[in-house]
Amino acid sequence: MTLTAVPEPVTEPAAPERAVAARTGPSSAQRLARGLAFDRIGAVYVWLGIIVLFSVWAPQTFPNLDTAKQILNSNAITALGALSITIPLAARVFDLSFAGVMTLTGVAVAHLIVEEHVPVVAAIAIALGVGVGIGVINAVVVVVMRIDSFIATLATGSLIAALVTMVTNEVPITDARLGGTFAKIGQTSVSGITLGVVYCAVVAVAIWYLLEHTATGRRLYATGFNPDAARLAGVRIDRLRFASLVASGGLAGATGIILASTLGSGSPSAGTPYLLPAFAAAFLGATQLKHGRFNAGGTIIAVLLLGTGVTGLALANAPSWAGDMFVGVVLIAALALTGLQRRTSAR
Amino acid sequence: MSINGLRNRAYKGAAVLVLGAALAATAGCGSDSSGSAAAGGGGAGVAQALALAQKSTTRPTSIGLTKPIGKPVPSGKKVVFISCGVAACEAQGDIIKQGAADLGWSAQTIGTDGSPEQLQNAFETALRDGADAIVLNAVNRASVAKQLEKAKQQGVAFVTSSSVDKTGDGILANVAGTQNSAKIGENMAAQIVADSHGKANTLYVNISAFQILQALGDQFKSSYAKYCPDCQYGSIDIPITALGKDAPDRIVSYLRSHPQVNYVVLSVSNALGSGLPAALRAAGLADKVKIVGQSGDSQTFQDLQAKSYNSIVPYDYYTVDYLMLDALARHFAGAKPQSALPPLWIVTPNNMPAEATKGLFPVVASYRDEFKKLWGK
Repeated sequence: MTLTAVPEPVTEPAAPERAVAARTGPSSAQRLARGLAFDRIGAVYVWLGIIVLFSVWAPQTFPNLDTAKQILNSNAITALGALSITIPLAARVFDLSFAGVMTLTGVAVAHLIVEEHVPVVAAIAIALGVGVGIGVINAVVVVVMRIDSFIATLATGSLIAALVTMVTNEVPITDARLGGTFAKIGQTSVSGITLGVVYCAVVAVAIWYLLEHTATGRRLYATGFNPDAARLAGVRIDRLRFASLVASGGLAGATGIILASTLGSGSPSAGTPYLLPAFAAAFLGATQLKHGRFNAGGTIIAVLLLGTGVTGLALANAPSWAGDMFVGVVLIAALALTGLQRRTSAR
Repeated sequence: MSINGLRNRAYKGAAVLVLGAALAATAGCGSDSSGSAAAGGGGAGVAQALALAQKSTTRPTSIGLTKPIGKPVPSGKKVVFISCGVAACEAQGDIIKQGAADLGWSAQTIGTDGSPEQLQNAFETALRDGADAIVLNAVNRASVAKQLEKAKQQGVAFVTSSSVDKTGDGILANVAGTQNSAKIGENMAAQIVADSHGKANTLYVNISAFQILQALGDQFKSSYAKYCPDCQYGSIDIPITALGKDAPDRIVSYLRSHPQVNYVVLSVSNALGSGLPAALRAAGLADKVKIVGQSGDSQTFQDLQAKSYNSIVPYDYYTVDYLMLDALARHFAGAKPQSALPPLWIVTPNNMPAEATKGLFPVVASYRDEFKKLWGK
C-alpha cells in the first residue's frame, strides 16, 4: 500500500467572518455625513438659516434666550396637536376630529369643575376618558364601518362641534375655580418655560420610542406603507389602525385639557385654530429624518421651523399677512418634496 | 442628472423658496406704525382725560332715552332674531325674547354660522314665517340686499346694531353704530392718559376685518393725541386667522421689540385677549404693561378681577337690544323715532359688578324698568 501526501485542504473564512467583512460597509464618518445630508434634515438647515436671517434683521430682539422661550411656549400646544395625529398618520389614517376633541375635552373639564364641582383630578380623568371615547368612536367608524378616515373624522368633528355647542351654548365656561390648581397645569413656568413645553417633550420622546424602537411602531409604518402586504405578512392592520385612532383621541384630549388650563376657561372654539397648523407640522415633519415617514422628531423640527418663522416675522415688524404666507410657502415646498421622495424611493 | 442629484436640487430649491419668502415678507416690514409722537403739550389734556375717565367709571343709571312712546304699542307682533352663531349672539337671542315679552310680542331665534349664505337663508326663512320684524346684528347691506328689498316690500321692519351701514332704504334703525364706537375709543384714550398721568406709550391692537372697529380706532388715536400729545402710540393689526391661536404671540413679539410700551389696548377683548395674560406672564411682561379692552366676556372679567386687565369698556348687549326693540315699538305705534347711544361704563377691578364674571351683564342695572316705563308697560 502506497501512502500519498494528502494536500492541505483549502480553507475559506468561516461564515460569521465573511459576514463581518461584508458588514463593515460605510465608516462612521460616512454615516454621519449621510445623517446630516440635506435631504434628511433640510428643514434644520432652513431653520438655522431663518435664525441667522432674523438675527441680522432684528438684532435687538431676536437672537436671545427670551425669543427661544417665546417660540417654545407659543408653539407647545400646536406641537402636542401635531404629535397626536402623528401616530394615525404613520398608519396612513387621518384624524381631522382632533381639533374638535381638543375643544370638547377643554369644555368638558371646565364644565365638570365649574358646574358639577368635580375635583380637579377626577375632572381631568373624566375629560381624558371623553377624548379616548371619541377616539374609540372614530376607530369604530373607520375600521369597523370601513368609512374612509378623512370623511369619517370630518363627520365626527362636525358631531363634536354640535355637542360642544349643546353643552356651552357657545359661551366660554369660566370661573374662579379654574384658577388655582387647574390653571397650574398649563400656566406654570420654570425659568420662563411653560409646562406645556415639558409635556410636549415627554410625548415626543414617547412617540419616537414607539415608532422607532418597538415592533408596534414597525407594524404601524408597514400598515401605512402597504396595508395589503402588511396583512399578508401577518400584521393585524385593523387592530393597529383602531389603536392609532384611540391614541390620537387620548392625546388630543390631553392637549385640550392643557389648553383649557392655559386659557383659564373652557372655550367652545379653542381647538379649531390648531387644525391646519398641526397638519402642516406633521406633513412637513414627514419630509425630515425618515424620508416620507411621519415621525415625532420631524414633527418637532417642523413646529420649531414654522414657529421660529412666525415669531421672527412678528419681532421684525413684518406685515400681518407675512406669517400666513410663510407657513403656506413652507407647507407647499414640504409636500412637493415628500412627493418627490416617494416617487424616487419607488424607483 | 441622477435621481439623487435631482432630489438634492429640489431640496435646495425649496430652501431658497422658503428663505426668499421670508425675505420678501420682511422687506415689507414696518407696516405697523410705532413710536409716533404727536406734537404739543399738555397738562390740560391730562386733566380733561381724568375728568372724562372719572365720570365714565361711575355706573350709569340712565338708558339714554327719556321720551316715552306716548301711543299704544300694538301687541302680538312677531320678532325674528337672526343669530350670528358666536357666544354674544346666542345670549342676545335670550335678551330679545325677554324684551319682546315685555312688549307683549313673541320672538324666535334662527341660528346661523354667520356666513353670508346662512344669513340670507335665515332672512328668507324669517320672511316666509311671517315675521313682523327682523333683527340682525352688524348687517352688511350688500350681502342681504335682496332680502332687505323683499322685507321692505312686505312691510317687515328691520333693525340692526354695530353696523357701518346707514339707516334708511330698508334699515329702520342701526343702534350702537360708528358713533358709539367713537365714543368708546375716546373714553379708552381718556382712561389710559388719566391712569398714566400723561406718560403712556400705547400699543393699539386692531382687527381690521371688523369694520365697525375702524371708528373706534380712529377716535382712540385722535383723542389720545389730543389728551396727551407727548404720549407714544403704535398699532398692529391681527388677522382673523390668528384669533384664538397666535394673537397673544404677536402681541408679545411687538412688546418685546418695543420695550417702552406700557399700555395695550384690545379693540375686542374677548377675541384678542384669549390666552394673553398667560402669554404675558410667561414672557415676563405681565408687570410691565397694562391692558385696556373693549367688549369682553366672562373670561375677560375674570382676568379683570385678577387684575390682569387695567379696565374694560363692556358692550352693553342689554341696552343695545332693548334700543332695537324700542325702535320697532315706536315704528309699530306710529311714533317718532328716537335714538340714543348706549350708556358707557369704564369697568375696573374696583368698580366691577359681581355678576360680570358669570356672563353678560347690563350696564344700567334698571334698564328693563326704564324701557318698560317708556313703553307704557
